[in-house]
Amino acid sequence: MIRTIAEKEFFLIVKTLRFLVVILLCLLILPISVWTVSSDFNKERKDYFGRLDVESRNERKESRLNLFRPVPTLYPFVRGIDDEAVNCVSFHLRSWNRQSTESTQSKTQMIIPAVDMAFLVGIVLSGLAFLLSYDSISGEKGGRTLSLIGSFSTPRSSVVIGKWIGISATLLIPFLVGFCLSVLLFVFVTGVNLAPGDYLALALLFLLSALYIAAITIIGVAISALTQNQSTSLFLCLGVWGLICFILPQAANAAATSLLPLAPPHELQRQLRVVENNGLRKLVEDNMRLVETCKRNGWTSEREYGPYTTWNNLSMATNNREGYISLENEFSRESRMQEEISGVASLVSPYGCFKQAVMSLAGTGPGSHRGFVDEAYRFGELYFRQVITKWSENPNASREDLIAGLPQFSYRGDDLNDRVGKATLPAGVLVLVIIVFISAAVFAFNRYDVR
Amino acid sequence: MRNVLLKELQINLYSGKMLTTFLLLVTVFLISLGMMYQEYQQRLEHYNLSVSGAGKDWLVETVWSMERPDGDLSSEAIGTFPMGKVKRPQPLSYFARGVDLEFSKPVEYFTHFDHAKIHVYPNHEQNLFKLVFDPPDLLAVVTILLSLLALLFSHGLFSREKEEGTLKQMLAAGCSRASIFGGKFIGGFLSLWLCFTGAFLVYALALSFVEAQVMSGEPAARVASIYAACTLFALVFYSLGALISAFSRSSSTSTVLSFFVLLLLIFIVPGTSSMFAQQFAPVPSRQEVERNKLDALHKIQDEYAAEHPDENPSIRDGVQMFVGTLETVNEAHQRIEEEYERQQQNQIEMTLNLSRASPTASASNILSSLSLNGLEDLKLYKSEQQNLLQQIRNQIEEYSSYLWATYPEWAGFGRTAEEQGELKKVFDVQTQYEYASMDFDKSMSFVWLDLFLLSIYTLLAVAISYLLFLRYDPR
Repeated sequence: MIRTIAEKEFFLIVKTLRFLVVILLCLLILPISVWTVSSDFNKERKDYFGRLDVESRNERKESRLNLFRPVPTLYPFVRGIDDEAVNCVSFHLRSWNRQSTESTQSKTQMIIPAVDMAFLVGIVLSGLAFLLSYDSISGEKGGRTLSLIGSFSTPRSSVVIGKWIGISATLLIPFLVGFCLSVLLFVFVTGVNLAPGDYLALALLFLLSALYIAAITIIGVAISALTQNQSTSLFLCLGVWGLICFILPQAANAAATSLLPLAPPHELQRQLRVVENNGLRKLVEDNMRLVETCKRNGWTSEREYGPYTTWNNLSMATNNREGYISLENEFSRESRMQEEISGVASLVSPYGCFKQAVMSLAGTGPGSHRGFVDEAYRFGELYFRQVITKWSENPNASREDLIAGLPQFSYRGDDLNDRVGKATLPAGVLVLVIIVFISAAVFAFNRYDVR
Repeated sequence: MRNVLLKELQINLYSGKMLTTFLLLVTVFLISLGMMYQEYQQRLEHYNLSVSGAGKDWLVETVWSMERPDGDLSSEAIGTFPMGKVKRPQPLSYFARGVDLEFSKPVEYFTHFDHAKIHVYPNHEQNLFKLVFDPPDLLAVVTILLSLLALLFSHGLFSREKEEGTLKQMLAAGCSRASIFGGKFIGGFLSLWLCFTGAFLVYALALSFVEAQVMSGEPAARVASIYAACTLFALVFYSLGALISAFSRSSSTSTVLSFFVLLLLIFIVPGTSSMFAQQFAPVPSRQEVERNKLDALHKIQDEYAAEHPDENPSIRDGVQMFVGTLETVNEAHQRIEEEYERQQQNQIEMTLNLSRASPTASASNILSSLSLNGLEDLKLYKSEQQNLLQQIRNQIEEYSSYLWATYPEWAGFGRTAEEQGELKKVFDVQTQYEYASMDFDKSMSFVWLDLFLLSIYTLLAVAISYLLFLRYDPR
């Protein structure tokens, strides 16, 4: 029976103007957006390799190091925060520094944001899901056809589930076609050889989108079952759409900021300068003592006093680095705590769940960026510890000796298992939303009196 | 017409539609205000720290100085340089945030002091979720909610009367089509306008409690202009709704069409215009620009070395090469940056022109410009930064001349109190620099085109909907 109702609902919508809108969005706008962002992806990738090339010619590898984050393969589908977050960590033996390399993002995107698949599904397709579902039950109530359905022996839960499946299918079938077309375009434009893991990630990306659309559709059906007429359900659906997409996730951030306020980035910069200045003052004192020693011992050539100046420099570098790491860890710990509160709080909105899940899966979200910075810091620490050890063992070592045998940084991002792991909680919340709203819709529909 | 207008107003008033709309607008406006207040306070704190820290916390020391057996001096000087001062955030950011994030990037000093540059602060210390979910400013609320409400007020204006058969009755009662159209159109819009005006007044009143300076002098004129622009924007969407309503025979068709128009004009047209502009007016990446600058530097230094073959590549000559090529390198770099700026500007203009097919882009442009956070304000800020950089470079040159005159044997810097005083003059350039903001007339000069376009959209939509209404056959 569920199948019959779903089919009826599906073919009913297919004949309407609304379906044409869905087709236009999925088959035209979605591929265009992926095609355009793929061109950006090509540019970003070219830049990444350009930076690696410049870095390979770095002649001061014993004291300077730049580590870059590669552009995630699924960036053309979910841009996430990749255009704005840190994608380069620069180390100097004397000072550590993180940078955002300027992305290809145009300045106009600050006023007029560009669209990607996550946006089209998260905002536009969810709006269409509400538009298709707002009158699914209230329309039948208004058209008096519900009393006819009620006169058959069809269980009411079957009606609700059948309608939900039918409406979801109307959205998901064109979306599946558009998504496949987009994947083909992406491969054609970028020339990327997708690994089996990437195909799996793309399939999961589609499944997450399907889950989100199904969740929004059942919310629309539940609202429709709760209300008596179409205009009320339309008003309510649009209100809920606005709340889910534009208010709740942002309110989650505001709540996290109020609960755990952070000092502005300038404060950290100031404190880092204090550490650096203290290190410099200590170096001057150490060197002044060394000059006195030189005078006493009659050392005049760099060969005689060189190892001691190097030692003083290394001592400052070690102290500074400890100071930097301790300060940055302190700031980072607080910002991560605020981030975690934001992440958990934004799960109250299905849009927040969807955005978090797809960003985690694509490797373009906050977690992936934090992962890169952590990995780069671990590597930097190991790298310079080895340099300093070599230097202290042999103060006259040449540059080539110092960098010989040092590890190479190769960051490939989180593997698929980790990414899926991060997406599990928000995806689970979406499943929960579906279960809760199916129950709510069935309950509201059961309460309806056909007389 | 007066009767139809009053009837329309009464229907909206008694059905609770006006009260619901007013309450909804007030609630969302106040939520936006609360979130923007939090963000503005953070920006202000960042600015205050940059002001109190500008020109401070620097230290330049000669960390090694010893006379060699040949009488020459072996020395090394290193230092940390002060933080840059950022532009004060605009209190009008509550209305439209625009590009104000760009204003929090100060001019910084390079290590080794060869150039000053514009430093990009990483967002790493901040909550990264703020990059995912921006707090909604008034512009976001107006473009999404007000346009939606405008369409909801007008999408059933004629189609519902057609569907219920009341239009036939009105025509049979001798009402002229012009009076029905005019009365219903004006009555419906008046209902929306009253709700919006009430909500905007509540918003302005609440804002005046937290940012009193916004409600006096020039900012007040900007707020009034923002209000007028929002009203015009609502009128555009209201007219589009009326057009859809005159075109459709049933209210459900007009609902679907209205929502599609909303999605198209608010999200799809502006978003895709930015993508198309990137394809048709490409801009090289920052990495390519930096590579071009590096190539230019190497070329100039090679030429310098070829012209001065007698000089030894010692530290002193390295410094001589640096000083000797500084001006040429700066000029070459400036040319590359100017070319990059020009290409960026082309892309920005193309995006804006393409996106003007949607009234949303025009409204974004108007509100951002009036809030002093528009693209033209960014252009002004960048030119001010270039100006500041030039002043810093001039001061660096003066400082270098002082060093050469004081220490002909070149032994680094940061040795005496007098010298530290000379160095401080370089940092003082930035401490004393005040970024200018655009005056009201200048801001208005950038929004006239968009205001004109919004008016044209309204007139076109009203004219076409009236024609469609005239074509309606009651039989």
